[in-house]
Amino acid sequence: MDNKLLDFDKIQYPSTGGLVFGSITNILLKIFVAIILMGIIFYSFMLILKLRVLQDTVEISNGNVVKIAITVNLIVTLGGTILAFILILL
Amino acid sequence: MAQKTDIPRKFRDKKFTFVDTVAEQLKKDKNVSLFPKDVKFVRQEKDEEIILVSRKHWVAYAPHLIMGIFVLIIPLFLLLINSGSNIHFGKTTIYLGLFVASIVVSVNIFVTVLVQWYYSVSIITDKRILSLSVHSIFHHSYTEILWTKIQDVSHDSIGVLSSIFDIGNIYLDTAGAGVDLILRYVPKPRDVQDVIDNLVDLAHKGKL
Repeated sequence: MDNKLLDFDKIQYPSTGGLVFGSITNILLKIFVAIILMGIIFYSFMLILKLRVLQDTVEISNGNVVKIAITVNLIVTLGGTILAFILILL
Repeated sequence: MAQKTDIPRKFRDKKFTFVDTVAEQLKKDKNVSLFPKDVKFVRQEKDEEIILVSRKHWVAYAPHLIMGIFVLIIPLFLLLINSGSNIHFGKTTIYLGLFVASIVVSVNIFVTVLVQWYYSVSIITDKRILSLSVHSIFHHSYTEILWTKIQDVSHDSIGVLSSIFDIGNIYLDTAGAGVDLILRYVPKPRDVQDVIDNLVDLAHKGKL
């Protein structure tokens, strides 16, 4: 006769340790990446402000190349950050 | 020899010996521009002529460029490790997101290097030498010394890269202890020192 109560050693309990560890590291990774991305946005804004200071110090006529590069950098940073946020955080 | 038409009238005098000796050599280097007409600086006087503008050699920024490439590779490397092991950490979209983030970081590193290279200049005029150094985006320094204040000029060229690319450091010493201005990673340091020596000599003799 089958007695399930006596076969307690055959019952398989779900292992939750790995899942908990995985989700914690996942959340930590997301927070870490989010902080870095926020920092990068701040940094690219600072680049624009720094360029303004440097242009006041030394005026180089074809300095527009750098200005264009920094503007493109800001656009890439904002676009890339939003995309990275969507892919990582959501 | 340098084209006479490129040289401002003021410097066609024979006392400016560097025009005949090193001008042609310096003109060949892309990091150096001789008698530029498109450069001005904040404290420039009306009759002050810019003789030479020198930028750091790109070798000075090689570690930054390598770091930019390294940041770009990290997510691909992590994805490679993850696909090879039995433990799957995170979804593929996370690695894709990390890759996008690394592109953003890399672009910022490269643009920072561009700004640093473009604005880290040494400007030699007929009155002074000035150096603008962009150390980082939060730190830059501006130094200028009149030719009459300079006592001693020297240069060194150390290392394999210095020999390959012909770059070096120029040390300018004024009265008092220590070296007052160091121009680092200067292309063709001997020729630049020749220009400085000529101008210091003329300034001390009162001929400038």
